[in-house]
Amino acid sequence: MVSPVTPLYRLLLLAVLSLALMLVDYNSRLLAGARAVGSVLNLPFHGLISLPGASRDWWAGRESGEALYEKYSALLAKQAVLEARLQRFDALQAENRRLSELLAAPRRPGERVQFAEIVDLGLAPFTHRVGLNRGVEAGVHLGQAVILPEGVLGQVSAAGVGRSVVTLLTDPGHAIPVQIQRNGRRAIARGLGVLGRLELPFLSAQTDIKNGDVLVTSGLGGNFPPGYKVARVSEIVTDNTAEFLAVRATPFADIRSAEHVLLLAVDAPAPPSESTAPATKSPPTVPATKSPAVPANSAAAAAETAIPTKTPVPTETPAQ
Amino acid sequence: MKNRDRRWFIIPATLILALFLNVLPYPGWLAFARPDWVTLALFYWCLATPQWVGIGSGWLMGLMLDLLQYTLLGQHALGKALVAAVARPRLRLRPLWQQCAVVAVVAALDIGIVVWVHHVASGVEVRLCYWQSAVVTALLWPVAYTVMRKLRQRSGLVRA
Repeated sequence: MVSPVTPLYRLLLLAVLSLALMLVDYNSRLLAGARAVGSVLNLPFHGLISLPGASRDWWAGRESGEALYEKYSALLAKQAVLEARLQRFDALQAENRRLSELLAAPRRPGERVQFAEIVDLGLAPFTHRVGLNRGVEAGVHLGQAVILPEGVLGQVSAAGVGRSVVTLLTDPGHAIPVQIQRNGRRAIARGLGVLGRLELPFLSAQTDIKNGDVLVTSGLGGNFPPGYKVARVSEIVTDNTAEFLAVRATPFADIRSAEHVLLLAVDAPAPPSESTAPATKSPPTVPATKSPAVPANSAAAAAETAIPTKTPVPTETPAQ
Repeated sequence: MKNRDRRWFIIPATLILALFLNVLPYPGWLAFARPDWVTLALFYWCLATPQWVGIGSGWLMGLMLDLLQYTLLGQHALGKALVAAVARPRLRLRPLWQQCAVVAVVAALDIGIVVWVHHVASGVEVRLCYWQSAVVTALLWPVAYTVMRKLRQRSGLVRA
């Protein structure tokens, strides 16, 4: 302690250790487990922090019977409307499944949603991240898609016990693979660190994109299931000398008015993919052996490969 | 003597309270001006009781902050180890305003490390307003120093 050298060496050692930890944490998921275990320590903190909010909710929950009844009947009416709409959706889904089977396209796994509440975790204000009140114990995992009723909000970037963190689409480090709903053209929507604004880089000047185009998730990369609304194109700057377009888009999901989010869980892919995998594998081999004999089939095969790339578009449009 | 030995719990108690205050939700207009309570508490105990609180404890406090704020593990740890390394007992002999200046510099370095890692890892834009917190922390140092010295004297902890 008295020697002036020892603290410096200790600091250097810990600095190297910190840098190594950060590198491992950033580049791999090795420390995700350690973080989840370590986050047990956070539980008392989170409990204390949410205490005022919880007591306020309890107080607000003591509404009069009349107000409750009004709310209840409004919700009933809303549910009836939604259920009526859902009937059509079920029929469409069944039809879609039959068509997919006919085309031998791989069946998309079903999705389940889970409700979560946005909580304040005192995160650094310059990163676009919010906390949720669900964690690993509820099956929340890294990379899980998080949506609002209006559209995609972001994805889970850290999961602990009882709490998890969502990185928003608008975070400067976030990018999401999207597709123009009108024509199926793929693109990437990148966050800029500004709320309500995304950027679509690397679109060549000839790209067919218009103001007001709706962008949906393309399903590439696997984190976001295809077909969910992401943003609306709000600004296209065409510069005759530039090779790429400067395209801006406004996300549908607005974090400022959100209190609850939906966590998307893709149904265990193992059973459906195992059952469909032989079915999807065999047909491509059959046309391949057949095509030399029957040339007309190759055109059909080409059409088959073209259609599945656009599947999110027809499934999404009737729902509008 | 035995009674006095049991009073050491005031150190972890204040450090944990500081952690709690650090992750407490603040109103939006205070978002960038929130004082860094952990730096204040750590700085004081490093000055007053270097035999118990040092660079290693600072690093551990930072690691706790990383867990609590879901930053990269080591991000806050590095900054807090630096805070603890700068807070040498010799600083106690200096007038309070000079201590304030040191706190300001070290808090600014701490923020710099955190912001820089955010910048490298996820492209967060570096803006000057992030350092408001360092100024607020330094301005709070005289208050924190007075209060914590009272606490230490009442709990009977002898400084080294």
